[in-house]
Amino acid sequence: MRSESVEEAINRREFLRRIGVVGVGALAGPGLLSACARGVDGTAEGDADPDGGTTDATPDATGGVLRIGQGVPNTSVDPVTFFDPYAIAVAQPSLEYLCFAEPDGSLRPVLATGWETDDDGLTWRFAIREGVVFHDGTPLTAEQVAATFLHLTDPDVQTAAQSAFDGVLDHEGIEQTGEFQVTFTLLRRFADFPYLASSTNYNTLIVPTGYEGDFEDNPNGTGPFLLVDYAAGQRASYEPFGDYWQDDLPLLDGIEIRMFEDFQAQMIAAQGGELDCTVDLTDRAAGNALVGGGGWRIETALGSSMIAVNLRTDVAPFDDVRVRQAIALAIDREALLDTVFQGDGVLGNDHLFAPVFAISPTTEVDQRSRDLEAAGTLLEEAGLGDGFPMTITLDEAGRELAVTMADQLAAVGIDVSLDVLSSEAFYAAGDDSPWLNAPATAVGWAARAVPSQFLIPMIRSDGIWNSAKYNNPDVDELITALDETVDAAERTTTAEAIAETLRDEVPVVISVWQSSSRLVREGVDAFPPDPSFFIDVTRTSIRS
Amino acid sequence: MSTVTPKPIAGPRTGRGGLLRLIGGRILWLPVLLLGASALTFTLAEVVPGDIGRAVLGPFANDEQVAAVSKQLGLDRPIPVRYAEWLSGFIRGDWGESFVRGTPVRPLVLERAGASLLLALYGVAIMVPLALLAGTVAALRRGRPSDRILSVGGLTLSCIPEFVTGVVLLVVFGVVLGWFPTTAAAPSGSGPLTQAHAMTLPALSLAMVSFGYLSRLTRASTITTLDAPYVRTARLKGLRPRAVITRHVLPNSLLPSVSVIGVQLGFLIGGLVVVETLFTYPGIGKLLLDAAKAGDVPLLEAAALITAVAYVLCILATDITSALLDPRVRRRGRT
Repeated sequence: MRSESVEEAINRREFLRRIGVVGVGALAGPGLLSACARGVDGTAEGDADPDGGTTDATPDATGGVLRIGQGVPNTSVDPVTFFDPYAIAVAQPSLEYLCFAEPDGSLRPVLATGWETDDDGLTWRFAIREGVVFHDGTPLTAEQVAATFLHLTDPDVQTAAQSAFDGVLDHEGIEQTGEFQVTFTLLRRFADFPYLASSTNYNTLIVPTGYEGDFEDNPNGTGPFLLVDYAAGQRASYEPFGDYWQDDLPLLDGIEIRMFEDFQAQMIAAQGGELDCTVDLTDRAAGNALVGGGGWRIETALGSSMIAVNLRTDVAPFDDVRVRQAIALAIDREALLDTVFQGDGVLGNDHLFAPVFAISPTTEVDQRSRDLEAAGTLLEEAGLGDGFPMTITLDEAGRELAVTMADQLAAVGIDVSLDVLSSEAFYAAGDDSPWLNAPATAVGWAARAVPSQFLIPMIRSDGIWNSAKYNNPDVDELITALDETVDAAERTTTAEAIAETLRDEVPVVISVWQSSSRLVREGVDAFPPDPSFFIDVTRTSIRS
Repeated sequence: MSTVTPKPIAGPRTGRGGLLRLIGGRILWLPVLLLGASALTFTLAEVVPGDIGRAVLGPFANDEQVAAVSKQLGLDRPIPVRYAEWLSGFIRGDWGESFVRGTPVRPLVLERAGASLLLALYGVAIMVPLALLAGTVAALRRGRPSDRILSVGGLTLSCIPEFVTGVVLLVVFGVVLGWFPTTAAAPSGSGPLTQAHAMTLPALSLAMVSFGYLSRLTRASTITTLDAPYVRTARLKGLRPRAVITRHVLPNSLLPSVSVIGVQLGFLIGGLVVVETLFTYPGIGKLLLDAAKAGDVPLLEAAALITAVAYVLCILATDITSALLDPRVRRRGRT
């Protein structure tokens, strides 16, 4: 996240950009396929176990109240409708998902003990954990799970989850098929569906039947902590839930989330010993200063958020692939990573497979690096050897990247000017919305669970957010094939083919995949980083 | 020999009548002022760019849904109609619901206004005695090093933004020394001493900003008073210096400061955005800023109007206090 001044707290549009225009966070990872097409167990080999715990060693310390610092939510804390990462963080100690995406991308069973499909991803059966109760004593059964998903897919309900389910799951496809079994019949085969039922689809927190959107007043979940006090914009206090389904958990005596509008104030509070950790780290430099002073560490999770520079493939000069390739060759990705993102991320390679995705072809496709000579040659061949002017249309969030890229592109004679709009203007509704129609745009995309959630809207010919107007029927077929098989080897091969094509044709320039960092005080254990800044305090402990 | 009954000498107008006239006049103007403030606030909030329906539903609703909500909220009706409806609801106590939070506006605004008032009063309680003392001492020691120190020091503090002084206070007293918490909001259920302890740093930050201005004003008015003929007379009469100061100088020199204190208090109630942000204090200034940024129109309008009410009431209290202290004001019936 970029740094902020007092006067520039992250606004709603910024949160929108970070959590996703399509509204789904987190990532898929190495455990993706291992979570699919298994027996009822549904566990991935070697990591999570069906009892929901991890293989982490039992910590030496228990007790203490964990003080977490974060920003102020811009929405109410309603698990069905929120899309703000800070609102989500408030709900997560008290509510749980069917499964949780770990920092390494694997899916850990939580309220589901496993999931299976026997028709290549068209129908999914989830086994619901027995012996779980809500904070009010109501036992968890498949009824609450089905009710939650039915509510989320209700066309009259405004929720980001529907964007994730769009074209995959609708209201009719959810059925309670046993006291502890829910079956999802999809609209099409979708190998990554478990991720859509996990924390990566952040609205899928399981709520009691008949939930009326009153979480702030009547918090009731199955999570390890009860929300006992909530002062909007100020703090949230939690106590451990004595009847939590995981024995000997949680380890803490309580949690207190403290909210800060100003990041500097949050850092001062941390420095003054009033915080134990933060949900995010807006200013990496400030975090480094705190770490340098001792007693703190920065924990980072690879992510799949990025700023995409879209080049309209149907508009001159970008309709010439040589021009697009020249642009991709002229930028200095390492410099962008260091200066714009303060080293928090990994290099992008102009395709939409973040390295953190399990099927990402990170080595099979050569990493593009700066080559001014090759870029110049391409421009000569395209008849633009003397360079050309171009305008990048963007909102404030992409300014720093665009300014730096403009400097870099000047080396090959490309004169870049920036048309910086307000977020409202940039993302305005209507057929001529700038972010979907300007010849060159810089658009921020928050983390996604699975590659399809980039590929389908951004690259497929009929993609609703295809700013580059990219139209390649072969790639369309590959994208469809990617979702319709659960065979790992086949998916990897398909991903590689898509990645190579996108890298060659460069409808979108992806220079850096951003990571997510948070500050943690030494002495606090098991407060892992998360690509979408989610928190999981189930096993968190304080040694000192 | 005829006798002429002397006309009674017209005595001075009674102080009480002038005071009542003053108060009555101010109170009569109060609704007019608030009406103007409310109309201006409402109009500005309604014409600010941004789609309120989109702000309510968030980014995932389609255009038809946004239009439906806009219609439901009556946003398609003329501004004067909406203003009249809002105003009548406001007067009846129905301040609407926050678009963003979905909660009633009135308890939130009143709670935050109360918090800001508390902080402002704390800041004023620290600032006023110190500033008056400093200004008086500087005037009595006019030209001496202590005068220079107090004057320059006060001016310097006034020039430094409260954000800077706040950070310095936080780092020194909150982080390094650990004497005070770095956040001003005490845990719920805390006693008054704990709350006062938590609010000390932001109150100090506020006090520093206003200290210089008030101390310089006090110094100037004290110097003027010291040079007045009646003070010279008091001295020539043989009064002790302390008596001259306490009985003749201070009552007259402090009068101008009363007006400033009232205006400062009114400003502080609604203008604490920076301090509230830095110290994470739940006040109304911050609420105003958040509502404006989020396009939360009901919250913005209510918070702005309450801030205007607070400001006007502070000015009224100032006028009344001035009248009570200054008989000339009472006689004139105006300040």
